[in-house]
Amino acid sequence: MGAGIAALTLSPLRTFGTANEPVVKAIPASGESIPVIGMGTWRTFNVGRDEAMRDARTEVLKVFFEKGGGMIDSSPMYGSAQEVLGYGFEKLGIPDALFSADKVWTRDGAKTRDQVAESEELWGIEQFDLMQVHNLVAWEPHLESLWRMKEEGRVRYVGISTSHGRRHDDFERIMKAGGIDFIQVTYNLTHRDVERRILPLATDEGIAVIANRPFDGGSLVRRLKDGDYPLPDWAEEFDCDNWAEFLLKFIVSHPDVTCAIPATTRVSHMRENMGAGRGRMPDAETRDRMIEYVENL
Amino acid sequence: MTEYLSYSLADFIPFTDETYFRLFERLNETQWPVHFAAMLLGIGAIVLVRRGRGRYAAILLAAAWGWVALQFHFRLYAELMQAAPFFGWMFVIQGTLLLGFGLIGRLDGGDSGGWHAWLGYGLVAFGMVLFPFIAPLTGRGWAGAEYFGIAPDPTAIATLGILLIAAPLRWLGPLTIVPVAWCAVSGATLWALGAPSAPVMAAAGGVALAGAVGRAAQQR
Ligand SMILES: NC(=O)c1ccc[n+]([C@@H]2O[C@H](COP(=O)([O-])OP(=O)(O)OC[C@H]3O[C@@H](n4cnc5c(N)ncnc54)[C@H](OP(=O)(O)O)[C@@H]3O)[C@@H](O)[C@H]2O)c1
Repeated sequence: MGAGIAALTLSPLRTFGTANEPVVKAIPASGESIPVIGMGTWRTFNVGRDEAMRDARTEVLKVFFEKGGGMIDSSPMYGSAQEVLGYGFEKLGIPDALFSADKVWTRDGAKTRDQVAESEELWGIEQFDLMQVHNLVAWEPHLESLWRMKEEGRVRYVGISTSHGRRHDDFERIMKAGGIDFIQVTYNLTHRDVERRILPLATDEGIAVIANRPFDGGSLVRRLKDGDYPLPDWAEEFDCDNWAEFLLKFIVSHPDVTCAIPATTRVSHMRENMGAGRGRMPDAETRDRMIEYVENL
Repeated sequence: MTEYLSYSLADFIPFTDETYFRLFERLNETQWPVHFAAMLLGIGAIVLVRRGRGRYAAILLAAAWGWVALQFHFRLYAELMQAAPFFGWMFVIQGTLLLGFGLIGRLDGGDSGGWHAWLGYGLVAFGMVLFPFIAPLTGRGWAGAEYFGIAPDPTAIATLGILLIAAPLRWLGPLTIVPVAWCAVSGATLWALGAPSAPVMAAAGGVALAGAVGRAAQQR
């Protein structure tokens, strides 16, 4: 991750930005800052070998970095997504700002290193910034191997992922046991389970939080957009122009959340999403108001 | 246990509708003009079956299933879906079953008459003639139209039709398992993708199943 982005925050609790600079937050384990809006690749980047579609996704990738993006999240579970990212990087070059996050996803606990190496090759990068254990599959042996790889300098951060509110008890146990730099969980305006225990625990333990499914897989943002619901006037107060920004700013303004990783197939949506990583953010009171507003639509 | 209840069908479909339907455009781009051969093959199979020459019809049908396995499942769909080779082997098994049963004369009965045979002709007409219209009718354009012997859905539907016409009752069961299962898999995939054509596959599989069961009941 290069230094191209202005670190506007000194503590992960404060997020302010000007319209021109991407808002960043610090990774507690290191103090390194990353932009609060990243990008996911589930479904959207699994387009196979079709060149026309690969080129279209490369455009999405290009706009992501032009607009100040950093973290990209993928997994061996996502079909050809890793390979399609690799295709994009071959065309665009590997941006300095890239914060590469991938996962280990195999029941074979002895295959950690092999799978990481395979994924590096597919992305076309030398090594990952963050390697997560996907959905806690065979997490014990994988974490052991990943910690050793971290010691050897083969990966920079180690994490675990889940979604849809699954296995939060296991998550808490693993987080308390130490050694975890990042967790990835589902958090969005209508799915806020993690607010009760997981997010505060992450802050207590000094763990960075990636919010996945920020649009609830797309249904949330589509419902608000297709329903032609108006944004409240007070959305202006936190520089919000559209529903995508509204939903994403809600997530990344949570003091315990480090970044969100919306996925998209479209350049126009990528522009909207990246807009959420700029300007003022809602405060705690405004966040409550946001929940109430959407619940009453 | 409750964790499993939190999964929905869509959690198992790792691509978007756009990417899935693009597969059929790519299939057509790379297969053209095999479509003509496939169409002749389909027409040949139905003519042969009517004349009681099921063993030759079986060879043609087996070729269609093998071709779809190779070109669709193993070559294209496998780029997106980990389960695609499994579906490919399902199609290979169906081709082998058709060939095996056909060669030992189990499809030689000819048109067995009755309402289920008419249902069979209906499914054949639907699979071979009407199915390609689904893509343009649902806004996907002709480029992604699905044809018998090229794409899996019309191949499964037309084959079910032929089996309803020609297969003797006791062989109907084993020969319809894979095509009916594919109707379910494809219908579920389309449903998860929110495609308007999802009910079509479910209905086609249901109609074939109803035909087979109805026929069994009639002959008892
Ligand atoms: N267990 C795990 O580790 C796990 C589980 C789930 C997710 N994840 C990660 O988290 C990422 C995000 O989750 P997700 O992809 O499931 O869901 P998501 O980001 O909540 O939603 C993606 C959907 O939102 C739509 N969308 C994006 N931006 C939009 C905009 N501005 N306006 C309207 N629609 C928009 C996209 O459609 P368009 O293409 O039309 O924009 C897409 O269908 C994944 O890609 C993956 O990397 C990890």
